[in-house]
Amino acid sequence: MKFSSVLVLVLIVVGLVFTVRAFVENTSPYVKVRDLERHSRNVHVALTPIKETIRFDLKTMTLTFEGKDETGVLKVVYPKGKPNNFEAATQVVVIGDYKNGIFEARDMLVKCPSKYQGTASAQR
Amino acid sequence: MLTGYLVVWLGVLFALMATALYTSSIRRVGRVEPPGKLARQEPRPPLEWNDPDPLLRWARRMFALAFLMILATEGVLQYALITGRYDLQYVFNFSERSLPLWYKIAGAWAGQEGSFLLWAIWTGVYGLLLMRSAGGYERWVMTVYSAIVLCLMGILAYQSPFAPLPPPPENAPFLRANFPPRDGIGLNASLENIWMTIHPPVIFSGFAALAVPFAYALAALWRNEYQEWVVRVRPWAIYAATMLGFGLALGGYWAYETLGWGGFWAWDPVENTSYFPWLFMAAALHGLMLQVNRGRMTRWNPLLCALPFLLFVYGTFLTRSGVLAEVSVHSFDALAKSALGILILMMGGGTLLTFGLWAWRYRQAAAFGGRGSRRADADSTELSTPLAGEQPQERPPKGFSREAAVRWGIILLIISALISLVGTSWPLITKLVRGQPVSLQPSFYNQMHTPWVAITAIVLAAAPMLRWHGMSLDDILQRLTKSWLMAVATGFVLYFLGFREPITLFVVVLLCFTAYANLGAIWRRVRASRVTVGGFLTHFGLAVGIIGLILSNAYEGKQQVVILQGQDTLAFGYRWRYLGMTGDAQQFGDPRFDKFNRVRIEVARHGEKFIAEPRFYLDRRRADNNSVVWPWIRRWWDHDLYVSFFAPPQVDASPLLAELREGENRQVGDYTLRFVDLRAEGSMGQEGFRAIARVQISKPGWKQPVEVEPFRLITQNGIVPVPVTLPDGAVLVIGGMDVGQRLVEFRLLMVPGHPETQPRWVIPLEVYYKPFTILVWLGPPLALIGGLLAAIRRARDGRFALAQLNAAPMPAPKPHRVRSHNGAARRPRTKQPLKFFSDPTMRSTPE
Repeated sequence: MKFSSVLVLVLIVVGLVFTVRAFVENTSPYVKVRDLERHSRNVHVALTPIKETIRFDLKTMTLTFEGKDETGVLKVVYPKGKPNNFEAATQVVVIGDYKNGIFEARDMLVKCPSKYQGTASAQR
Repeated sequence: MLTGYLVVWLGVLFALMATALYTSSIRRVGRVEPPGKLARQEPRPPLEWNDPDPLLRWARRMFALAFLMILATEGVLQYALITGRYDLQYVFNFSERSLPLWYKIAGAWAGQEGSFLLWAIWTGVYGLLLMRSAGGYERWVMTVYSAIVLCLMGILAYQSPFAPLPPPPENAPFLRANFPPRDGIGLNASLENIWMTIHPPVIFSGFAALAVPFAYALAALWRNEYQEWVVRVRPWAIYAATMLGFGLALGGYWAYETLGWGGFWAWDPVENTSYFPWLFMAAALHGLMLQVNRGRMTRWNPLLCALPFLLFVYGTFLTRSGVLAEVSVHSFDALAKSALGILILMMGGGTLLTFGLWAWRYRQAAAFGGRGSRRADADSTELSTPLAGEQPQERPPKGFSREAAVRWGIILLIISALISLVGTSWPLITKLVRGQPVSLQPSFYNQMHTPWVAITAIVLAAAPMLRWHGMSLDDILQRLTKSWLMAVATGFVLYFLGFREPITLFVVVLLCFTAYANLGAIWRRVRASRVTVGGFLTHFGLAVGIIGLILSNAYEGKQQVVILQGQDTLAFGYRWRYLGMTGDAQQFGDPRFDKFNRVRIEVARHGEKFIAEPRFYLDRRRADNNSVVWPWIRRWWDHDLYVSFFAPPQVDASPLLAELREGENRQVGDYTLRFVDLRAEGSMGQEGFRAIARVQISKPGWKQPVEVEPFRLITQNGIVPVPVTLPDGAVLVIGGMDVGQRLVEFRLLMVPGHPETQPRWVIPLEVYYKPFTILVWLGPPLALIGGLLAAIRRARDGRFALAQLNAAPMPAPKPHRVRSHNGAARRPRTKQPLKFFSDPTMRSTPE
C-alpha cells in the first residue's frame, strides 16, 4: 500500500465513524400514541389535529392542541409559535419527547394539502 | 379531452414502433462483434432519413413522430390551459382565469402529470440529438432510449393530464349546479413567482439528460465494446451533471426567496432524490475521465453511467408513489396504479438489465484495458492536461498522482451518495423490516457531510496541482503551500470576524484551500492562453457555493420578533414598527385575503431607516385557510436580513361577548342587548345572501334604545361579517351563528373605557441574519459555466478523436490482465507511447 492510499483510507474510516455517530444521533422512530409509554424520548408522532382543541397564546407563542391517530389522542405543547399552515393541516408530525402525559414538541412538520413538490415548506 | 388522449396514445404507439424497429435493426448488423472491427466501420455517413437500411430508416421516422406527439401533447395541454378548459382536472387544479399568461403556461409543469410531460419533452429533444450523434452506436443506444420514451408516454397515458374533472358528490348541490366550473382554483400562490418559470424546466433538462449515459452504458455492455462509447458519452455525462447541479441550485434559490423558512436546502426527500443521482453522475464523469486519460475504470464505467438514471427513477418512485407520504413534509398524490406499474417496471427492469449485463460482461470488459479509449482523447486538456513541461509518457508514477486523487474523489462522491440514498430510504427500509418507519432528521445530513466535504475539499485542492504520473510529497506540498497559506489567512480573518465554531471553521478553511488552488490553476491556464478551464472553474464554483451554504447556515442569527400594532419592538439592533398592510380590506373583507398583500414594517436604527415588506396571503380557495408567505430580503454585500413570518399576522382583541337566542336579553358591560330576530335575504347559499340579526341596544345615558342590524354576507370570497357602529363609537359585529338554534354570538369592539376591546394587529415575524449568502449566489453560476465549457470541449474533442480512431488501426483486445496489489504492475500500460500521441496535430498543449 502506498502512503497516500493509507492516508485516504484512514480519513475515510474517520468519516464513516462520524457518519455512524450522526446516524445514531438523528434517527427518530415514528411512534403511535398507544406506544408512547414505552418509547418516549426523541420520537416522531403523526397526528391529525382536532380543530376544537387548538389553543394559541400570542404572548408566549405557545401552541397547544390535541391530535389523534388510530390508537389514541395526545395532548401536544409546541412553544415555537403557530406554523403558517397549521390551520390547513390535514396531518402534522410532531418531534420531541413525551413527559407526564404531555408531548413536548421540539419540531413540527405540517403536511399541507398541496400537490406539487415545491409548494409545501418545512416549518422549523 | 379526446385530442389529448389521442396524441398521447399515438406517442405510445410511435415510441413502441421505434423501439421495435431499432431492436430488429440490430439483428441485421449482428449481435456481438470483435472489438475494433466495429469501430472501424466508422464514420457512418451523417444521419439521413433515407438510410439504406429500411428498418433504421423507419425507426428514425417513428422516433421523430413520437417526439412530435410529445410536442403535440404539450401543445394540447397549453391550449387547454390558455383557453381555460376548467372541465379538465389538471387545468382546474393549476390554473385560473385571472392568472397572467406566463403563469398559465408555467401551469403545464405545476402538477404531477405536467412534470412527467416536461421530462418527456426534454427526453425527446435529447433523443433527436442522440440519434444524430450516436453514429455506429445508434441502433443500440436508440433501442434503449426509445424504450425509455415509451415508458414515459405510457405513464402519461395512464396518468393523463387530460382527465376530466370528476363531478362533485350528490350532497353538494351548490357545486353541482355550477358544474363544470367556469374558473379554476388557480396555481398555488407560492408558485407564482419567477422561479416557477425557470427552475422546473432547468432541473428536468438535467433529469432527462441522465437517460443518455444510461442508454450508452447499456448499449456498450450489449455490444461488448468499451472504448468508443466512452468518448461518445462523455460530453453527455458532463452536461447532465452540470444541468442537474444547476437545477438543484435554482431549487435552493427558490426555496430561499419564496418559502420563507430562511434556508436554501432542507434535506427533504424530494430534494434528496435529485441530490444522490447528481453525485453519482459526477462520479461517473470522473470515471470516464480516468478511462480516457489513463485507461482505468473500464469495467466500472458502464455501471457508473447507468446508475444515475436508475436512481432518479427510484427517487421518482419514492416521491410519487406515496410510500414516503407518512414521512415527508410534502404530501404527494400517488400515481394511478397502471402508471405506477410502468414506473416500477422501468426501475426494476432497468436495474436487473444493468446489473445482469454488467455481471455477465465483467470479465470480458477487463480484456479491453483502456488503450483505445485513451488514444481517443490524446489531446488531454483541462483537468486531464499535465502542467506545461511535463512529459506524460516518460516519468514513472510515484508518490501522489492525479490519477489517485481522481479515483479517491470518485470513491468519496459515491460514499456521500450512498449515505444520502440510504438515509432517504431509511423510513422505507425500517417500515419494511420492522413495520414502523424510522425517520432521519435533516441534521443528520449536515453532520454526516462534514467529514466528507472536508476530505473531498483536500482532494479537490490537490487535484489540479498533481501530475498524472505522480509526484513526491515534497513537490506536492511545495505546490500547495501558497493556496494553503491563503486559506489559513482567510481562516484567521473569519475567526476575528467572529466565525469561531472550530469544526465549521476547519471545513471552511479546507474549502477555501480548494477554491484558491483551483483559482490558481485557472489563472495559470488563462495566462498560458489555454481556454481549458472548465473543470477547475466548476470545482471553484462548487467550493464557493458550499462555503456560502455552510457560513450562512452555521452562523445565521434567528429571532422571533412579535410586533404589536402601535408598539415598537427591538431586535437585531433595529427598532421594528408595524405600519399597516397594503391588502384591499374593502374588497376582500380582510387585507390578508388579498393576494398582493404586503405587510409594511418600518425598520430603523440611528439614521438608517427602511421599510420591510414581506408578503402574507391567506388563500381561501384552498382547503381551509392556506397561508402563503413571501419573505422580504434585504441584501448587503456580506449578509442578508431575511424577514418572514412564523405564524400568520392576526388581530388580537378581547371583545365583550354575548351569546343570545332570538328574543333574549342580556347585560354586557354597560350595554343591554336584546336580540329581536334573525332573518334571511337573498337565496340560500348564493352570493349576496344575508343573514341579518336585528338588535336593540341601550346604555345608561342614551335617551332611547338603538336598533341596529349587523349581518353576515356571502361574497365570492366567502362569508364576511358586516359590523355596525354604535352612537358612542363602539362596534357590534356577529361573531358566529347557529341558524337552526337561532343562536348568535355578538361581539362588541372598540368600547369606550375598555382598551382590551381595541383590535390591534399582532405581527409574528421571524427574522434571520444570514452572513455571506452572496457566495451561494456566486458559486453555482460559475460551476454552470465551467460545466458547459467542459461539455462543449469534450464534444469537440470526441468528434476529433473518433475520426482519428477510425483512421488508425485498433489494437486487439489484451488477454486478461494480472493485477498486483500495489497497482505498480498496471502502470507500464500507460508508458507505451501510442502512435498519435506523437502526432503533432493531436497536441494543442504547448510543450
